Amino acid sequence: MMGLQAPSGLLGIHTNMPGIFPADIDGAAFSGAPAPSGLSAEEKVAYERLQFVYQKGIGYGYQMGLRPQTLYGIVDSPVGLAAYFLDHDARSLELIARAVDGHPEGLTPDDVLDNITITWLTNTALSGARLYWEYWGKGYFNAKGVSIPVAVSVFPDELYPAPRSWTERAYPKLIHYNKLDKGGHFAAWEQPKAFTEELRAGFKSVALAVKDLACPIKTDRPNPSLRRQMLEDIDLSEVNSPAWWANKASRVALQKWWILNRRIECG
Amino acid sequence: MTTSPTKERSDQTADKNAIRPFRVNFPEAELTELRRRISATRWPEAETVPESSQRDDRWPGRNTVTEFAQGVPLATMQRLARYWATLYDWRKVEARLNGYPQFITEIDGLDIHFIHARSKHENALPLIVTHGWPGSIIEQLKIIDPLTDPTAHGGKLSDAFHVVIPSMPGYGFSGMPTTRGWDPVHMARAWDVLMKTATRNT
Repeated sequence: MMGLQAPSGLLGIHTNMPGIFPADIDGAAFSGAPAPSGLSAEEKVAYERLQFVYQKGIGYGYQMGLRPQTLYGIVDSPVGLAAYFLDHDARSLELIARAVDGHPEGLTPDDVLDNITITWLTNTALSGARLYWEYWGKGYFNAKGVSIPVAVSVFPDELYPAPRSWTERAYPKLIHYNKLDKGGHFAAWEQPKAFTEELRAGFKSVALAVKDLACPIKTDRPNPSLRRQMLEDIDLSEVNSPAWWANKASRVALQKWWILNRRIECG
Repeated sequence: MTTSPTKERSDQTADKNAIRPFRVNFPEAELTELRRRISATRWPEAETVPESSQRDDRWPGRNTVTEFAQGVPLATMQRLARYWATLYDWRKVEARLNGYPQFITEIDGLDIHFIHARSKHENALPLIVTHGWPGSIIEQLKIIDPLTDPTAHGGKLSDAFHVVIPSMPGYGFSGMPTTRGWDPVHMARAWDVLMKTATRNT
C-alpha cells in the first residue's frame, strides 16, 4: 500500500506476500472456476493455491470482513483467541501443530504464544479484526499498480508462490525476485536468517537499479561542501514521479546521492 | 520512564507530535488471570475424524488429510493450552521487547506504538517493517539485530538498516480506532508520517 502511494523519500518496497494476480485471474479463482487455459505451470500452481485460499481457507476473512463485532468469543476466551489465530492458513497451522507436538521448525510454541498473549493482554482481538471490515472486497492478492522499485521474496509455503511472470507484470520496476527453499506466511518470524538476507539483497538491488540508470559517474568521495550541494540537487518529494525517473539529470543526482550515502561503487 | 500499557489516553493538552518513550510491564494479576481462564476452558468434542487408512508418512500418528480439514484439531489446542497455562513465561518476551527503544506518538488522533532500533552505522537505510493479521511486533523481533548490526550477523557494513517496527492501529500497544476509516490505505499514509517523525526525532 505504501508502494502504491509512493510518498516522497520512499525509494522502494520489499514484500513476501506480493499482490500480483491479474484481475480476471483473481476473479476466476474466487469464483471457483477451473484454471483458465494458457497458464504456465507456475501460474497454474499459484492459481490453484489461491483458489484453495478462497474456497477452503479464509473463513476468518469473511467473519472479520462482514461481522467483526460479533467476535466476543475471541475477546472473552484465551483458547478461543488462540485457535482463531492458529487457523490463518493450512500450512502455517500444520507448522505450528508440529511445533506443539514437539517438532518445531522455525516457530516454537513460545513464539506462537508470545503473539497471542500480547493480543490477549492488550485486549485487541476485536479491534485488530476490524482491519478486514475496513478493507472488505478490495482484495489483498490482486495487482494494484505499484510503480516504484519493488523487491519480492517468494517463500514456498506462503498462501501462494508468486510466479515471476505475474510478479513482473504487477511491478514494472521489479528489482529483485527470489524463490526460497523453506518458509511460509510468517517469513520474518519463521525464517529470520533467510528473510534478513533477502532484505539485504532486495535493497542492494534498489541501489543497483539506480546505478544501472546513471553509471558511469566518478566515485571519488567529495568534500563536505560538495556533498551538501549534491544532496540539495535532489528534490526527494519528486523522486517517485514518472517524469522524474524519465529525466536523466535527476537519475544522475540520485546516483550521486546513493554513492554518498550507501558508498556503492560504480564500476 | 514507564508508560502504562493500558489504552487510556494520555493528557491531550500535551504536544500531539511529541514522542513518548514506552516500556511494557503488565501487572502480575493479569498474567494470573490469563492462566486461570486457560485452565477454566470449556472444551468441545474432537473434530470428527474417520478411522482412515490414509496415513501421512511425514507425520506418524497424525492424519493431516482429515484432521486439519475442519479447523484446529482438539489435540493441538489442548497441548498448547496446557503449556500456556503452566510453563509459558510472558516475562521473557516482555524483557526482549524492553531491550529495544519503544515509543508512542499520535498520528491522526490515534496513539501509534513503535520500536525504533537505530543502527550504529550512520549511513544505514531507514526501513519500516509492518506486521499484518494475526500478528504483532512479535513477528519482527528476530530480524532487528541482523538488520541493525549486519557485521555481527553475517552481513556487510553496507547492509545496515535503521529499523522502525510499528504496531498497527488496533493492535498491541497502538490505540484502538473509535471511528471508521483506519483501513490499509490510511495505515500506509500513517507509516509515511511515522517514518518522517521517527527519523527526525528518535
